[in-house]
Amino acid sequence: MRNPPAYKYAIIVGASSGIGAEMVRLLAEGGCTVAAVARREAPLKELAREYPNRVIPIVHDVTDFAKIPEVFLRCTDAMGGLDLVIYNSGVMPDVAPTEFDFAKDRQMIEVNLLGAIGWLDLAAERFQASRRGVIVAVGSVAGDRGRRGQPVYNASKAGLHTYVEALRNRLTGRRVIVTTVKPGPVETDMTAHLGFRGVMSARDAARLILAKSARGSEQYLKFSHRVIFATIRLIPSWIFRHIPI
Amino acid sequence: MDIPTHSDLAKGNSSAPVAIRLDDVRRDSAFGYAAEADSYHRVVINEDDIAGAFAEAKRTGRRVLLRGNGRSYGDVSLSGEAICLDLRRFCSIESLDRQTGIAVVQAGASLAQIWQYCLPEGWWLPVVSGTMRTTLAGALSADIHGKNNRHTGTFGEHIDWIDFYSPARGLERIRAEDPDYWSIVGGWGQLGFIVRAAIRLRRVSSGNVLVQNVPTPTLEEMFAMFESDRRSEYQVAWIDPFSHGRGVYSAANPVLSDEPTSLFVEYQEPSDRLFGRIRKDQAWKFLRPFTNRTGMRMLSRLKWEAAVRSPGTGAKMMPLATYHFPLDYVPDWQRAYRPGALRQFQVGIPIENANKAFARFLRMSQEAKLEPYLSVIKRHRPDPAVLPYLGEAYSLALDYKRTSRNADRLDRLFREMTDLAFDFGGRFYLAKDCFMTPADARRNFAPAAIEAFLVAKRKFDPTDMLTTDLFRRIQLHANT
Repeated sequence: MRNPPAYKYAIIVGASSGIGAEMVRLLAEGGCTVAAVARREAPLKELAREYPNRVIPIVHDVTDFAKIPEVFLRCTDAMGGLDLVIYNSGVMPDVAPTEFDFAKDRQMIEVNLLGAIGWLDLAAERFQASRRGVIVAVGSVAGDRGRRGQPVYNASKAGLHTYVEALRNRLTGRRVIVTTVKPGPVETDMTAHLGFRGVMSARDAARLILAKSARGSEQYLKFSHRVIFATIRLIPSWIFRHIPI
Repeated sequence: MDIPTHSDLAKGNSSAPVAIRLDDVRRDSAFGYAAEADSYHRVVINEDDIAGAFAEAKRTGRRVLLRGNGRSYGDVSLSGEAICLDLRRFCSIESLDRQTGIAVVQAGASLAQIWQYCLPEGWWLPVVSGTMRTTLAGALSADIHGKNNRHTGTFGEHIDWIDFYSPARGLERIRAEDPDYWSIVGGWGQLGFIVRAAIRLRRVSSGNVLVQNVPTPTLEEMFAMFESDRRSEYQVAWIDPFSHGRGVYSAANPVLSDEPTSLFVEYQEPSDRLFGRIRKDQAWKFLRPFTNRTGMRMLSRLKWEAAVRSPGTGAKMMPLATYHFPLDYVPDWQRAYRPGALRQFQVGIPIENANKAFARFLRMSQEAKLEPYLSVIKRHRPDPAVLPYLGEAYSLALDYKRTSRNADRLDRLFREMTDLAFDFGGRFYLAKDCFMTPADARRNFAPAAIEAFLVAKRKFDPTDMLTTDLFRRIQLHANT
């Protein structure tokens, strides 16, 4: 596996656990200064204690949209620069097959999509001006099709993919790299209720995301995912609606 | 509505107003790409813009940086996330006294603008750097040295007064006799900003210099030339970095009488093409295939052979600009080092140790297979600045190419050469530095010099508003 590029200053939004926390660790171990942004304070403090002078804990709820510009500046000021922004915040509440709960749906759109737009718009505006930088959005293979189990989670990730693709197109020629990564099943707090067994660890997923961060375009973490989901995307809707996935 | 629109956020209409505009962010690189930083750019049109930036910085706790043409090789004029005042449009030549040669110039004027204005009137800059792109503020804050340093001293020694703007004291005129003058000049912009200066130009009656090149097969012979040739005003030497010390010693003197047309700018810069064909702004691309060990070994050998085989040893006439500004002969030549970076190791070694030290530096580089691509020696006299560069010494400037593949080895070589340089009583020049540690800095400057600098720092910039990345790296700031 290739080593991740040598970033000096990174913001990770959604850094308190799972893939986000592992990305913070990997970047800090590589000598990068990281602004670790998340809602929960305790795990951030733990990360800062693990990597003193490397990890700057920033407590922030991504749905507090009005605060995003201020928090963004707090991150860049504290670090002294910015090379990489990774939006990794995401929620996937347990939704029963027959359940339609607007509160849960709204939360997914706000965290998975609107929060990303709030943060990545700022990153794009800054990098467009400085003509340098890498933007990574952590999407999901779940955004490739509308599935019966998680309609709004799928929609939020599909929206994220399209938004990030548009950013990539907008910033072409500005020397800004915009990458969408689409992890498949990963062992994290978010997926604990799904009972995944033998899937990729958060550490491995984090390592792969960083390794692919500067590639631009859409990236699956495994070749098999690329093949499987390319196939799934080709299944006609009138067949797909009968498949219980 | 609890969710503000993005334009609300951008305009600062949300509960947390955005004082800083993200679309002002620019990434600045050191000349040669050895360091870089992002900052919020503003253009300086007049002194009020500086006052405005200071007020904004005080309000927001942000730092301020004054930046000209970015000719420093390290991070001395970089300041991450600071408000960066782009000085290049504050560049008028306000007056030139044709009797006395006193020119009052705004800080953003480049040496090119100054000489192009003054030379047709019969005046030339007393001290210049190897590039004419240096701004006046840069020249003074780095207190630049020329090939005539041994006789003429530094740029700051040819100034009557400066207008100086500091965070603590605002705008004031500092005369060269003022006790604070040598803290500010050679103070690397850490105390405040020089906004204009009165320069004492030197009278010239010709736009040419007489240059004599002498091939020197060994370092000993080269140093002997420097020491025996005490009368030549300009002295410089090139060493073949792939050899044991062979090189070319070059001495030059002003021409005393000449055609008045030699003072014309058109005579100094006759063509925008090299060899009559290659556009100068594209010429760096032709250097690219040679920016490697094999190519540089070949070019160095050619330069040596050309010097040895050149017919006769008589002096030849050269336009002042061609002689003084070799770094501008191929504009943007540093781009040939991409995707790597140009790292310069510039050290001054006291005269008695110079021969031994320079030979060791060359040998260490060759043993590591990391030969510099350019190697230049100059002769110096003691600096008057509070943070001085050199005493009676020789300086050696070595240009290395740093790539992702050789980065670790080159850093090790720099570490070893730095330690060796200090053992020989060496001193480093901050305009070229991106390597020194806080401990190195305390070997580089005497404790009394550091103390005197910090006293001035606390007087003019007690809140560290102007402290740049280099001074934070070496931990020389008001809170030290």
